[in-house]
Amino acid sequence: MGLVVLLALPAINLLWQVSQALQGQLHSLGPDPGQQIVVELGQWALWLLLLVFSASPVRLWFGWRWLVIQRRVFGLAVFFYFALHITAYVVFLLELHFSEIIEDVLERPYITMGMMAATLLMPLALTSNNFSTRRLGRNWKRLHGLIYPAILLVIVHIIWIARSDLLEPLLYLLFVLLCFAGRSRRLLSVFKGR
Amino acid sequence: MRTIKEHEVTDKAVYLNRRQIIKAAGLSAIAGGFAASPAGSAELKRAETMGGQGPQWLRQRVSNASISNGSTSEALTPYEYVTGYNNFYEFGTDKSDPAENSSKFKSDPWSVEVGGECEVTGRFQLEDLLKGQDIEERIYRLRCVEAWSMVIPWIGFPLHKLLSRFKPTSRARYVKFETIYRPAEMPGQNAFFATLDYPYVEGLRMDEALHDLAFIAVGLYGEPLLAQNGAPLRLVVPWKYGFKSIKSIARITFQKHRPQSSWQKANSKEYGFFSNVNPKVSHPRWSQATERRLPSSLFSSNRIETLMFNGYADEVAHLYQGMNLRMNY
Repeated sequence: MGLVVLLALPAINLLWQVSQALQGQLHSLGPDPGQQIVVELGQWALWLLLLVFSASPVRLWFGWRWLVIQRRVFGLAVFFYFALHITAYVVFLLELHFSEIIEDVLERPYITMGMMAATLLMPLALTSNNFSTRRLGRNWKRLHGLIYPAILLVIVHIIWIARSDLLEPLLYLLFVLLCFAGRSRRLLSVFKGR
Repeated sequence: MRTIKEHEVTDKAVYLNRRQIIKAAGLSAIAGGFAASPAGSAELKRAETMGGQGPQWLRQRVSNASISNGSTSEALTPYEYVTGYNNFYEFGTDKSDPAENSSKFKSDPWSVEVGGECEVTGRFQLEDLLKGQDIEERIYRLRCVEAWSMVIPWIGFPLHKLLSRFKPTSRARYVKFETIYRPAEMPGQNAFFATLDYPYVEGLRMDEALHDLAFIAVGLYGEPLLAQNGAPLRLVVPWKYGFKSIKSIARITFQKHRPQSSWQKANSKEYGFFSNVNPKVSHPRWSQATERRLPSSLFSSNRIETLMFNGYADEVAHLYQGMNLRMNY
């Protein structure tokens, strides 16, 4: 599907930059390439997660159903990017020294937040298929309610990692809060004057 | 990000050899100098991008800098990264912003306003400030609070040789520095959500400022400073986190009271006045025990242990004897 290819493009680009870097050719990753890759993968995971999270309120308020219909594909793309994000962190920044993960988690609380968010999102990825929706029935919806705490943990993760420029993380927080509010049918009915 | 060859390293021997060739050819103009030098792709790229920045007299002083002994023997960070990966929020907060957004910045002519608790005050042209100073090269480590570091061959002279000319009085316990305020040339200075208040302010205790390690840099790698590195003159205080090394200095004030630095004002819980490099005192949100020495490559992140006072403990530890460095961060 065209959408899958589109969603894969950022990853393909990064893969290209990595292969360039490994061959000693020109690349655009800068002097701290491992860091750059981890950050970019995280950014894509975040933007796609925000898109997924906005699907419901967007349908409610604007009647636009495309995001809800495509939500599973976007959700799996989120998983794809954050799985790569964590892999890149372990491979490039930790250089596969798994014992350092404990150190990092203890000394960098933003990593703890990230790990917790990833843990909550895993079952969502694993159950994003028809088999699961059939088997879990009503509980599927309940399970996928984990996106609420997960997305808040992600926001804390990026606020805590911000060196100095808090504008971007706070804008993401605002977006999430708007989506939270947007899910309220009561609010919607107030606005629509019903 | 500018595209960079992965293994482009400006070896110190190559750098020094090139400078000798430039001197031997008796040319101070960059273009002329490069015609005589070994034309590696790194050098040609620099010649294209620089086109002789800074006034002639400054280029001459900088290229004639004497090489000091006692500099670190660690590998230099390549010129392209020193001038392309910068934190200078006046030009934007991305690392590539200062190089990309500083084309309007005019570092010539330049003057510095000096005042406060000193006998000699006034506005001084850059040329006068450098008159009679022995310009030398010093290779220093620069450790950013973000936990990355570089090794940079600065060119300039010790700060105390500048400050002593203004004859600070006994009431001068601190010296305050300010960056130029020019929002028309520095777009980040009037950004709506700017993290910092401008002009950028930094300060040192007088004994820190008079220490021989504290350095005024007017060049690096044999050339005058580019805008993104703090043209035309900046401070380098290598035993402190990089944000203390204030750039594009426009005002120097001797004070009785401790100045509040810009980062202290923005976030005093995370950024203190002293900001000495200290692996034992974490930043509230990340550890300072290690750093990434740039450039790193994909499979070696060059993660190294951070040294107390950035490895300059022998020279400066005595300044802080008896001080609780956890409280005075």
